[in-house]
Parts: sequence; C-alpha cells; structure tokens
Amino acid sequence: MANTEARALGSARIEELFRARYLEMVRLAGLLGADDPEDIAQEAFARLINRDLPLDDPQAVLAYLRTIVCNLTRNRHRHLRVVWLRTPAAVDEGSSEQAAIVQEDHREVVAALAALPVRRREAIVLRYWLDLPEREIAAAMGVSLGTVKSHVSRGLATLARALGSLHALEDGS
Amino acid sequence: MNTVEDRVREALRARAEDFTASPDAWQRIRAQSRAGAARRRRGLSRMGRSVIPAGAAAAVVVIAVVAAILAGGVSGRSGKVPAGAARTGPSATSSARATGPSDSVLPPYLLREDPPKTPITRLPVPPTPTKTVAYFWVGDASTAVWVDEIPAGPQLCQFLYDGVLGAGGGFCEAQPSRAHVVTVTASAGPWEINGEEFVMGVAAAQVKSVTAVLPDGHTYAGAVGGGRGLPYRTWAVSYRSGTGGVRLVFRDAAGRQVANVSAAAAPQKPTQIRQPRSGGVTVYRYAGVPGIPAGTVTGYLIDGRVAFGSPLFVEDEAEICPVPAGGQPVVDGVMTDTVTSGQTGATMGVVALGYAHAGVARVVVRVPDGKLLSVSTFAAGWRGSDLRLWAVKLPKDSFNVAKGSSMAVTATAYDAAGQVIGTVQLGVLGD
Repeated sequence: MANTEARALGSARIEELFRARYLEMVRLAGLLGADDPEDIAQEAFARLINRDLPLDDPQAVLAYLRTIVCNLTRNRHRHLRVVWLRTPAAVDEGSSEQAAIVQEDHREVVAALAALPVRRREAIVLRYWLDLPEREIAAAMGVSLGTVKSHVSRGLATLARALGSLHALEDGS
Repeated sequence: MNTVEDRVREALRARAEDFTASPDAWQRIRAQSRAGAARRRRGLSRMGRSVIPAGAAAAVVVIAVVAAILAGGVSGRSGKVPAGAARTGPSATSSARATGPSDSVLPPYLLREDPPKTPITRLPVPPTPTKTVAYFWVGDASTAVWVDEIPAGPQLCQFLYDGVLGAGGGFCEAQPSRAHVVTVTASAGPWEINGEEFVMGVAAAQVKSVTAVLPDGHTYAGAVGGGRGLPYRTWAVSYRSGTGGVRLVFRDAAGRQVANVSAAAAPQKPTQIRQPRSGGVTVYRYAGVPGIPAGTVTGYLIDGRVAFGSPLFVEDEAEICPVPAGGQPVVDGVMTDTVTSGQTGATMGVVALGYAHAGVARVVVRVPDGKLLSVSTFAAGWRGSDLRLWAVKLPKDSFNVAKGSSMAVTATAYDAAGQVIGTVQLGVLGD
C-alpha cells in the first residue's frame, strides 16, 4: 500500500514537472538540433517515470531531464556525418523591413550554431538559452567544468568568426 | 545587440518559440512509459536507445547506432564456417506486397528528414514474415529541417518493425559504397526482440542468400530481396538470441560463399571510435598560435576505417572517415574543425586530412574560392595495409561562400603519371 501511495505521489510530481517543464525540454531538444524535439522530450519524461529516481529534489530531477535530453539528441546525431553549413529557413516574405533584418540576423546565428560541433552547440545552448551556470552545464553534458569552459569559448569564437565573415562579405569587404 | 553573446541569446530565444508542445503529450508519455516497461519485461534492454511515439498507441524504438562492415572478397576478412553451415536452406525472397504491417508504421521523422527517392521496399523476415518486416529505401537528406550533421545527398534508410511488439527501429545514413560485398547494420550488436536477434543490411547484387550460423552449428535462413530503384540487394536475418559468436554467411546463386562476417563484431559508429593509445602515424603538425600550443594530428586505422585524432580536437572526439578504407573511393578524408583560442581568438585554421589507396601519388583539394591545393601522399606503414595518408591546411580566405550559393570541398586523387583516378567530396560550405 505504501508503495502504491509512493508511486502515486511520484506520478503526481512528475506530472507537475511535466506541466512546468515539458515545453522547455522540447525547445532544448529543438535548439540542440533534434529532428523531432517532442519525441526527445517525451522519451526523457518516459524515462523519468520508469526510473525510480528520488523526486524530492526538483533541481536534481530537472538536471536529470536535461541530461537525458542532451544525450538523446546527441545519440540521434551520432550516425550522422558533419556537414558544415545547412540551409536555414527562408525569411518570411511580407515581414516589415526591421523584422526582416532581425530575422535575418537570427537566421545567420542559427545557421552558424547548426554548424558547430555537437558538444559545442550543447554548451552554447545551455549557457545562452537556459542561462545555466557552468557547473550545471557540466552536469547536463556529463563533462568537466574545464571542458564546458573550452566548449563555450571555442563555440563563441567560431560563431564570432562565422558571423563576422558573413558580415564582411555583405559589406563587400 | 552588440556582442556575439547577445546575438546568440536573442536568436536562441526567437528560435525556441518555433517549437511547441502537442496537447496530447502527457498521454503519449504515459503510453510510452508503459511500452518501455513492457519492453523491459520482454528483455529488450539492448534494443532501444530512445523511444518515440509512432501513433496513438504504438511506440517506435529508434536505434541511433549503425555499423558497416566491409567483408568477404573486398576486405579479405573471412572466417571459418562452423559445422552445419552446409545445411543452409533457401532464403526467402522479398515479395512486393507481403502481408504484415503496413508502411504506416514507418516513423514520420525519417520520411520527413530523408524523403524517399525510391519506392519503400519491404522485406519480410523469416521465420515469421507476417510479423517482422524490414524496410529499405534511398532517401535524400532534406535541407528543410533544422538539423545539422547529416551528409548531403542520398541516404540509405532502414527500418525494422515488429508487429507483435508494435515497435521498430531505424535510421538513415550515408549510402554505403556499391563496391562493398555486404554491409551489416546493427544496433551496436544484433537487435533483440523477444528472444530473437535481428540483423539487417544491404549487399552487392551477387548475394542471393544469407544464413546466420550459430557456434553450435544451428543455422537460420534469412531473407534476401531487392527493390525498385535500390542499387543493392537487401537482407535481414533473425536467430536465437544470447548465443554470441554468430556468423553471417552470404552466398551467390551458385551457393558459393561470397562473404562471412560476424553478426556481433560490427565496429562501432565512426564517432564512437575512441582514439587508440598506439599505432598512430603523425599526419599533420599544427604550428602554435597565441593561446594554443603547437600540436600534431595522428592517423589510425581502426576496424578498417581511417581516423584522425589530436589533443587539439574536441575532447574524446576524432575525425573519422565515413567508409572503410579498403573499398571505394580511392581517396577520402575529413576536414577538421577550426581550432580557436578562447582567450586570444587566434585560430589554427582548417585542415583537410585523408587517406588514399596505394596508387595515389598526389591529392588535390579544391576549396570554395576555386583554389587548388596539391599535396603528396605518404605511406601510412600500417601492417597489412598499403594505404597512404595526406594532409593540407586550407587557406583562411577559402571559405567566403556567397550568400545563396554553396560550394563543395573536393579531393581528387592523381597517380604518379598525373592521371585522375578518383574524386570525393569532403564537405559542403554555404547554403
């Protein structure tokens, strides 16, 4: 009976967590380049349900979810070979000029992000989208603090170079 | 938005808005978790790396690992056929429209990511062809999805579906060379369902049958088929699980053995190969730049593939050539990532690294701005291999690709007489 109650409590907590964090996990998977972000997020929650994880510490559970999303997305990439730049989505026609400029900038950044190696992209997304501290990024990625620093700095440098050269090209320089 | 960091934050925030949640997500998760529990009860722990819903009730297990083995006459790798192999029975052949699961079991994401360029071929798998079906098609990597790290061009897509379980697994990967006699695909070893293990893959045209041979001599006939538009024969075989040491024997129409490979010894995925501690050959020496010390790139031959590793590469990652080096193409290679100092912003630049077959004296790399970079090859010196290696640094200004255009980086192999004997695309830059 106690077990049943514990399971029910656990299920309720996970459902609560789902309400609060599911969309975030979908978006994390999407930003990491998952082909089907919802599948990744659903799998992460399904694993959480099937894993007898202590649910008392919401932060620890959240960290576990992030790790699973990162791992699953990375696994889906594993069979794929690097191509350096993908065609980004076209800018919507009919946007206002300012909106188009902003979208164009986003498009360039997103394309440059997509060209990063998987782990660098993970570090950048966790750092600049989720605003996680390096310690939590390290936990989510399963790497050391030093590796996170390296991934973030190298990733940023690559982005700066890619975006800089794009603009240099546009300026005709 | 002044800094790169600001631009990244802003772009990520905007991009994130594109991803939304389905209203029935929680129900799907519950169904999925129940499916997961059911799979564990059935002992499918090796099967799934991730589970996705493929309909209201079904779950689809995605295998994210594939392995290719070069076998038989091409690589020279062959093993003894255990006693009993001679009892090989006739293989089933594929039927155009067999009974069993319909094509609707195929996961939409595979079809979306790699839209089929050929009809989808069904290959019912003995001994229960109405239950288990292997699907094959050639897809084309779509540029419409926001996903990186997929090779441009045609993909060989494979999917195995088990009708009783209501689940299956599949993936698309760069098409194997047609020069391979057999390509074995497995999920880091055979794929296990309900006490049976399954292996599938493609084979050259001369392959007419496949048989799994267990160490105790038991044999299991598999299926070999073809498909409209597919440049290969397709095959799949199932056998009793948990035995280990299973060999797959492929025969031609006359019953001659054309390949004999291990079902379980498939090398790991290229990106999962760890750099060995020895046996490497220095291929390239990076000069130091402010913030990054000088370093070398070392080449290895691992499971028939050439891999390059360096302390300067991202931790635990190597650059791996996508196909086994013994077959086609005669030249192949990879491009390294730009190694940049986080402190100084100084960069090591991009290096193209590769191997070539014995007859290749020189490799010419063509970069997007049209520059041709010529480099001599040198013998790798690996025992039992006459492969040669090459490396060339690409000029920093080579990568300015005009917006809206794209340009391939290619490597062309020349023999000592200056004749072209092969060209391969190393990567694509641009839109």
